[in-house]
Amino acid sequence: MFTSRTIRFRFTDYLGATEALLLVLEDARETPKKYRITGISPESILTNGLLLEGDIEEISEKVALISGATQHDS
Amino acid sequence: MASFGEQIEASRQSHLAVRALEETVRAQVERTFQMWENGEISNRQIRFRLEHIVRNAYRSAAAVGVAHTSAQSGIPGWRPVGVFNTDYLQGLLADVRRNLREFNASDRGPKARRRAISRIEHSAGVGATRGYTDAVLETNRELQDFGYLLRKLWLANFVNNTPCEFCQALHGTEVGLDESFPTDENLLKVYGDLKGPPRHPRCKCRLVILHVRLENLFERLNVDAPQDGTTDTLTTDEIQAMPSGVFGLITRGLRRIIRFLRGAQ
Repeated sequence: MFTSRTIRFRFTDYLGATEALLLVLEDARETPKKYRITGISPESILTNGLLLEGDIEEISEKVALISGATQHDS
Repeated sequence: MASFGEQIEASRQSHLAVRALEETVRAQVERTFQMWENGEISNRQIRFRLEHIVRNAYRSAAAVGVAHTSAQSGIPGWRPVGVFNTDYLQGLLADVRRNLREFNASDRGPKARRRAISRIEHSAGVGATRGYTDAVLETNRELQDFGYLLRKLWLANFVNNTPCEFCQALHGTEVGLDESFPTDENLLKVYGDLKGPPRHPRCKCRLVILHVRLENLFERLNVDAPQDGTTDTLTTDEIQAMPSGVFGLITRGLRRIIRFLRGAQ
């Protein structure tokens, strides 16, 4: 069942932000699911967090595993 | 510093520092000549002092270029290799020595004096402008190796300045990172090469290297009135519609940055 959800991930270092961006971009390129990504540069992710909106269950679990990530439901 | 407009503005600020440096080193040349004429420094010292001014102009401006690219890249901990010595700088130093020799062999009259000072001032001024250009090119070569997508542009300066016909023709021209800008050498000879400004002594043009990123990938570039056409949001549909070459370059660049940052830890 499709469930729409919004999660913001926050990172404390540039490496974590870059890893999260790469992970999400590669997933978004292949996935049949639909979601929206806000924060498409490491600098922006460090400042404002990485916001995922839509069918994001699988990808959000992977992003949460990246070191330094903290997760907030919006 | 994501949008093209922000990057162009940042390069303008850095270039203002280089132009201030150029004015300072030009004044230093005249002052050094006066010290020599007043007997405060010897025939041997004048040559070393003038070469020192040109060398410092080049290297100080290069330091500004390195700091500019480093800030523009946004990569924490990345310390690009500085520009220290180049054929271009050696050419300028050879010009200083030649102009000094020609002055010594002349009648040392007011005309010969003015010509010598003017030419050596040009060497110092060109040294400052080109030092910045060479450093911006060298540091961006490193970023290109990282996988950065770059756009190299020539921008003439229209603020309190009317560029010459050659610089106006070059304004907004875009070439590859290691390519020379196109110009008519029959009308005005190029000193060295034209991989970036200056086109001529006292040239106020600047080299701008834009970093193309996801946020500005589809931004329309207008060098005269840059708009902030960046986005911070993409959908899965938009990412899947991206040409595979562009997507591959972006992700390869991110992977290289991750490798670099992991190595730095």
